[in-house]
Amino acid sequence: MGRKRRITWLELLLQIPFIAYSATILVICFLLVFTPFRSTADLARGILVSPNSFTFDNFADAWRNGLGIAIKNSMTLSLLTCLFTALLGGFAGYAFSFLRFRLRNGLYIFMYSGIYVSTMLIALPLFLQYRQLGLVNSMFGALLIFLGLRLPFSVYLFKNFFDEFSIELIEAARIDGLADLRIFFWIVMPLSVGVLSTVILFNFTAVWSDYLIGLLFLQKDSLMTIMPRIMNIFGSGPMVTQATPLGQGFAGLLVSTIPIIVIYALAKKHYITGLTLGSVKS
Amino acid sequence: MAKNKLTYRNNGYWFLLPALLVVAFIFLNPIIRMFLFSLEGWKYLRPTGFNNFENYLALLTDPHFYGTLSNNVIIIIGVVPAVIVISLTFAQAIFGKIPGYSLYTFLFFIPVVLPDIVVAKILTEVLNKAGPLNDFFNWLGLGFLDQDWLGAPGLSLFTIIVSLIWKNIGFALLLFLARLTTVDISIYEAAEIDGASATQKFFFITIPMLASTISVYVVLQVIGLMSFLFSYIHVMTAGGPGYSSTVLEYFIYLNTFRLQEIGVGSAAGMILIVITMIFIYNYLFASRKKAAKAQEIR
Amino acid sequence: MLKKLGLILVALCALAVALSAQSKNPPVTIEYWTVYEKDSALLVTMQKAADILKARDNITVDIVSKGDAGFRELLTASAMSQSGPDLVFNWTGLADIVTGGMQGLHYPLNKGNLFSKAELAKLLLLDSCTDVKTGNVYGTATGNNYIAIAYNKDMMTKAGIDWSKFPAKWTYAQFLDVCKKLKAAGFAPFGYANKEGIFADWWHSFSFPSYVDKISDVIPYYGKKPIYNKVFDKFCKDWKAFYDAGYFVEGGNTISINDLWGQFTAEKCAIIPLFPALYSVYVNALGEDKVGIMEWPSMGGTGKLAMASPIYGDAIGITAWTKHPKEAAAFIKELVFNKEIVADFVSQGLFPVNKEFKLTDFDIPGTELKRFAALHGQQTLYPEGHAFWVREYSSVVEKFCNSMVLGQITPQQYAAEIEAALKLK
Repeated sequence: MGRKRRITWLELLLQIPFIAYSATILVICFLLVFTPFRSTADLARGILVSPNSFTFDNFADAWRNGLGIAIKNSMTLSLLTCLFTALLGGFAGYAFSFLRFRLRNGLYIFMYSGIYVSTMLIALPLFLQYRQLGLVNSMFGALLIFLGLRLPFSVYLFKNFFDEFSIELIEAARIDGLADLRIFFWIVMPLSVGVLSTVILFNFTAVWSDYLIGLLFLQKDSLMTIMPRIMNIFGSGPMVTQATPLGQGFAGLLVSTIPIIVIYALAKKHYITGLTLGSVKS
Repeated sequence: MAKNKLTYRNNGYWFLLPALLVVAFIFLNPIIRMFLFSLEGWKYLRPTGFNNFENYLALLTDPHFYGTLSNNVIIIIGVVPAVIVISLTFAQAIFGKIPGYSLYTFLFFIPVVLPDIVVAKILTEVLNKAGPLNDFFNWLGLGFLDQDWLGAPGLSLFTIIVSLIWKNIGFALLLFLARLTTVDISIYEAAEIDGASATQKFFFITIPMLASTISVYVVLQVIGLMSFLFSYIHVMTAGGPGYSSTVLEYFIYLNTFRLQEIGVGSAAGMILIVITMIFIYNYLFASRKKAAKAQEIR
Repeated sequence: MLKKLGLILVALCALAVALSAQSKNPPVTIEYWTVYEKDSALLVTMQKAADILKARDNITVDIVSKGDAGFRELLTASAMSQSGPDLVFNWTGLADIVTGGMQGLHYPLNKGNLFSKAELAKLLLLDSCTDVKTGNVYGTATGNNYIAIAYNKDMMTKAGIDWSKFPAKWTYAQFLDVCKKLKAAGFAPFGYANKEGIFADWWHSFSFPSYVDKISDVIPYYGKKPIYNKVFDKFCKDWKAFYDAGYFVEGGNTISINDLWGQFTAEKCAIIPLFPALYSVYVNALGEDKVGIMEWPSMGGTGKLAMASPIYGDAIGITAWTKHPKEAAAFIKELVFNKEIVADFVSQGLFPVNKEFKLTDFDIPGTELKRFAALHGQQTLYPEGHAFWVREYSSVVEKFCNSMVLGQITPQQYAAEIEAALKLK
């Protein structure tokens, strides 16, 4: 298939949907990238007209409204979630792949089902419990939720990856008298850079794009995460006493996509690895 | 054979324990609580004790509940086949190195990775009655397409479906491409020698090759559309107008957080869980049979 | 040596006295959630009240600007867990204060001497904060707010309408006539942003009372009477006719309520609802000369309330779970009884809720607002329909008004949805 061939009429025809779909994507990207730099008066003319202003005010205003703090919080939570899911998920994946113990299958199915449970279902009951435990408005509490939400998928990725490992390698290490903990850190992990990147990629994105958990569990201004903050900037409600902060909100949207685009650009290969390992929850 | 190699070790629990505890705390325990909520009567946000499954009865006699369920089904039927057809065509063409294919793979990737809220916010602006899309249609002279895409009861669900297809094409495409790259090219070459046309190759080689990948995609997408659509719908239409674009997940949200019918919301939640789990376990057991075979070989 | 000891003793005594003086008023921090944005004039005034309280009673009021995104969700979760802020603002109107109170969200002001009987008697709009069954007062308005309309004088002139001859309040015929002329001149008459259904919720609650004789007819509590009747039907049909005539801004069904005021300030519509906090917004955007104020027009009804004017209140309530109800009440008192603070509110167009304060005691900025205030004082006022609604009612209105106005469901079905929601309890 890689050979140079004559271009057929079918291929020419096929260009039409390709170009059409690309065009819609480019329009969305255009809106995402240019809207934040337009002044409110300019935006009032319409969102998809040629800009006649250039300003950084929207970013300044968004920052004043707490976007910076939100980015810091979201970044902290995302990175910590990545770290701990990699560690705990790796352990669990190792156990499921290389160790044999009673209830292994049952526990795996339990863990696996977690991937598919809607966050909406757990939000309210968990909130009530968190209140009792005094964990609302604590970064630790939120981190725990994100860990719980992201671990099932991480474990699933790790297990699928480890299943492809040569078991002889592990057995040989065991015969050499290495403890499992050492095998995990010295032998398995160094060979798992690919799956680690995948796990980090997916978990970072998921935590970064979360709305509901951040909204309910991190209510303080100083703890708010990025998506609730953006929604907050967009919608101050029917009682807003200033013009629609469309540009400000879009500034938030643009800033919020930058880390995602960067991390995907760096690790696109691993996104595909993740897909082939089985699956993705969108 | 494999069994002999994987020696029975109890320390597996120690490796598993941290993850298991966290997951049990975050998933199992709220779901059990939700189940208990669904059995209780609620008045003004306070439980009034066991109420003979009245929440479930209220749900089953609520026409809006069936409306939201059918919206779910419509979304799934509308999105999944369309995405499969479009992405397969795209995947085949990109695999055949259509001119500009690397640019396309890069571009098509963008809607997939953008957070739901970002996509939904931008689309809401674009699809406004007074927004650029309608301006564009008018400019083309297609005035009849100047519609209230998100605000008209008959259209909002359709618009959501189209936007979901738009967003999810890249995901399926990557999934299929990843599978295609592992296909032995010699099969195609042999078919070419036998004089197979591009269409024949597509239908008789590509699609059978991708069958298992397609089934993986279907499961993931269906679950995604059932359980992870909240922020998208919330931003785009807020389930409206009326219940015309409300899906089960959003129905749960409306009941618990807006109407404060904690019991009914929890009952709907339990139904969502049951549906999801039935779906998952069918899939899981089907794939575990295969995996078991693979393990024997190993 | 003794001298030294004595000095130390004296110093210790002084320290003890200082400490005990401080411990009389141990510092308390309370949290107040509002939906107004941080730098809005209203919050600046509230902060002023908070500063007074801090200096005098050592009570810190942490004013948290939440915005409406997620406000309901947070309140629901807070009410269920009986924890969260000490004071909450409620923009859905006073009705939510009562519903909220019944739901265990609010701490009654008449309980535990938080407010004395005399103090409560001073408050306007008290009825609408009171649970009829128990007599509990679940909150108060912070201001006596008019629900009015602002109009663009330029557009009126361009449409050939002489705004200087406007009556104190439009009858429905006059209102329709103005809309017709504006439409003919190529202007969108009335602003419309109803994606969330909030605008229709307002329209319903401000306009429906003109069809009835007394405000309690607006909502028969808990389905005692059927919602659907001739009057309701007429109201819905008038509303639909107004919509179908194209008097609302086109495409308003997909426009978020956040963009409503922008329609007026960007001169996309000639008439817009006006609440006190918004007067300065309009004036800042368009200039004082352009903005006219009128009472909310009478709608198509022939009830006794047809020519009366609705008022409402930005409600504030103490939460049921607060550990500092006294301190929270002190803050409310500061907002409604402190003349300095009230004067500040009045200067933003928010009229006092304390019956003892006369409007004439205060300096009202701007000739138009002054003229309006004088007229407003002569109107028969009633708390808007919202005040007697329960949340189930308004949630149905928000969800189904679009369908009704677009003709997807009949007024009868619309009423049936409301009845179903009310009977669910």
